[in-house]
Amino acid sequence: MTVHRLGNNLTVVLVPNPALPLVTADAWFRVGAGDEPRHLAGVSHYLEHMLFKGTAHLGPGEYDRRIEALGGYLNAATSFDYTHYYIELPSEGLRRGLDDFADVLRNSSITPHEVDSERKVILEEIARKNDDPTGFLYDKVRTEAMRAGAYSHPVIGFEESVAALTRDQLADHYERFYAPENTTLVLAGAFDRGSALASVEEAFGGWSRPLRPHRTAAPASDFTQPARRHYERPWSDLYFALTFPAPAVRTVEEEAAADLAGTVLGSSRTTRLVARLREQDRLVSSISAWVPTNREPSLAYIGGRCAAKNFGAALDGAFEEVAALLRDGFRPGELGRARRTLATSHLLARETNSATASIIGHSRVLYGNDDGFARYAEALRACPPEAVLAQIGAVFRREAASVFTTGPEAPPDA
Amino acid sequence: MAELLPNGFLLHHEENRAAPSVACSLLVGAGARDEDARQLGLTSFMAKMLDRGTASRGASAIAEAFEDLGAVYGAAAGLDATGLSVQALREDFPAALALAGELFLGATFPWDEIDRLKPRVIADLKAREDRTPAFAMKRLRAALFLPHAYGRPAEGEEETVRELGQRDLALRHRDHLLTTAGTIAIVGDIGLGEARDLALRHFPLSEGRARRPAIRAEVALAPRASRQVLRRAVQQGFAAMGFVAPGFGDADAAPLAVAANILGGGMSSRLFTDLRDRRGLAYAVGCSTVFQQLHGYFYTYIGTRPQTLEEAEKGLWEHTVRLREEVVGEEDLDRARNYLTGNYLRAMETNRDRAGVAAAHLLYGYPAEFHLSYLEQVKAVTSRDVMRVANRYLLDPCVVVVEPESSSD
Repeated sequence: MTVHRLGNNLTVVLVPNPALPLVTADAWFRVGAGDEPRHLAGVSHYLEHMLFKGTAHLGPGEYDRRIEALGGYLNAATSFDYTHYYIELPSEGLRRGLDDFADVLRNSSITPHEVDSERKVILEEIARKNDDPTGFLYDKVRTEAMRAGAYSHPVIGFEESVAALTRDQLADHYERFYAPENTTLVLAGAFDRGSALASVEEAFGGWSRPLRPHRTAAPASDFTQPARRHYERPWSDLYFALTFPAPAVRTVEEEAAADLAGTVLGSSRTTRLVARLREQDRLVSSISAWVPTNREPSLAYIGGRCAAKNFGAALDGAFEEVAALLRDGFRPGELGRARRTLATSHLLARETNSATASIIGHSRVLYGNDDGFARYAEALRACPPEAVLAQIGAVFRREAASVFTTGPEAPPDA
Repeated sequence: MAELLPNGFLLHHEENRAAPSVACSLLVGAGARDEDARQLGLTSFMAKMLDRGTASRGASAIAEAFEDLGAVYGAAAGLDATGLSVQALREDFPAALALAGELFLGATFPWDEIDRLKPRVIADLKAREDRTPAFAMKRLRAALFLPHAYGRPAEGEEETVRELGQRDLALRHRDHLLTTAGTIAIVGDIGLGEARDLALRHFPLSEGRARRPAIRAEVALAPRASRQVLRRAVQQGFAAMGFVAPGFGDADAAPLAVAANILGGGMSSRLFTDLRDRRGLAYAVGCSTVFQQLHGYFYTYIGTRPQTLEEAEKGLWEHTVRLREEVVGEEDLDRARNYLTGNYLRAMETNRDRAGVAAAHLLYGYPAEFHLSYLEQVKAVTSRDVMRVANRYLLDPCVVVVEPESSSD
């Protein structure tokens, strides 16, 4: 892996992998829903859609057609801390693909006609999410559990905010954040380093735009008082999400501790909550725990599915398990298994160019370096048991939990 | 070149030193499609139970042993086959495969584990219905294929899974998994000699293996057009339209796959550009093909608001008809062929991907590298081929429409 910085401050990371004649180009912008003022909720995601709608050189749909005609695949994703765009191509198409890729990232037209047309698509995307039990619940939770702060609205925004966003607001967001110094371009796959770098320089070197964020610092995350809400919907069962305020993650060491905390608590069959509540007590049909790795304080979750009548006992059981872990410490082999599971899946993921590029891009956005790629396994090994327990103890506190459920009937004691 | 091992398995080995891992995919030609209709889901449940107990280890000990090795294990049954897969870093692979072999041969299906897993499988079956696309596609497959077994869900139904017992699982294991012809593909940082030794040592001969192909009680297909309208408490409507297609390896598979990609593969396909980009009808719209061992299907789908559901369904149909009536231009054809071949390559990136594909090809009676000749077929597809298969297969649609109930708001 080599890291280069172009004259315009664009960071370029090259990761050669000659295994197959394929290459992924993945551009990571350090902007996401976390950078949006509330009245612009959803603007980053909306803009992500707009970048596929043409430039002065490429008419609407032409970029898609040209990349796919090369045998390529293209897509993009928006999150709280980043937006990224990627193309996956047969290696021989890299040069041509990069030129078009650079054009859409640098020169999006964002025409009023296309903005209006795409609005309908995004409203369909929201409706689709609302028909999915977990998609629905987790977007609801976000606004109920956080009063303010970087992550207090869903990435996709709200129907009302998306309906109200204007062409000028989208263009302004684009002009503020889509700047070379805010961007990391990762190339992973089969390519010649010298000619790939020359192609990148040619496609992106002339790009110049200052970075002008809406605000200089993220607003403080403000969590609501622990709340309890039920949303009645005719799903097959009760879906639940317990949320907890969780700290920011700004180093790979903190990422490792966060991942270990979630994995030890609720991932595979041997882990605490799963072993107790699904396997032993048979109270839930699924359960998992997750600690976020966001650059500002955000929400941790314990989520799952169960019969409504079991929910109270499952809730008590979950906190009993957390208390037992904090009181008695890890069982023999428990933390080692979590380390092993995470390290192996990290290594296996790197078999694909797209996952390699994602790990690097994510690390660059979060830490401004490649630690998440180069030092993640080491950070897992080095993370002391006390740090994992401290993380669990600080986050998964019953008194801090908000409890959200959705299903045909509310849990009996709600 | 595949090698028939003395244990009755056909072995494919591919050495790949580029990644420090090894993946094994084992497939046996006994799937849900030869289940008794009263025991739907039996094979799938049996596969899920393989890692829930052997004579020497309980369910937790098995899970811990895999995790201690950092190994990824999975087992599942589809309609055509039952398989298990193991992946681990190079140094842990022999031990991980040994454990997988212990499960495959010596699963004991303990009662308490059956009682533990069954409610969860049933809850998962119900939860799958919570998502409109899965709800609609299950009904579309039923409409396309029933009474053929391809119209049934491999995971079973609540009523049939509820009745499954230990004896059913043990018999299915003994009489099907252990004695039906199978394939093993091992791909990664491992030489042929070691791969062969491991496959022989951990999957020894069971009596009858490879001598008995799965017994299939085939029902003739009688495809006919149909249309179902189902109402659900959702915001968004959904329409899926399907057609019966030939099975895996058929000469018409490549032209049909190209036709599907012209229609709805990728962001520059016709359905995407017209129904999504131009008319703003949907976020999710597309077309795909599934080629199962005996028969396949071709389907289009769209999720849209109730007010535009009729227009969306009509759009799916009109674009399908257009494939039958208009010669596809070279640019469209070229894009679809390239997109399809690019996707195929990308789906073969990992050792695990390659092992899974090779094991399936061998099981269906094709060379492990069949995808290479398939891709040649794709590249050779002409606009006349597309029109021919469209006029042969895309005639009588089965349609499933999900309409939102007005009370869902």
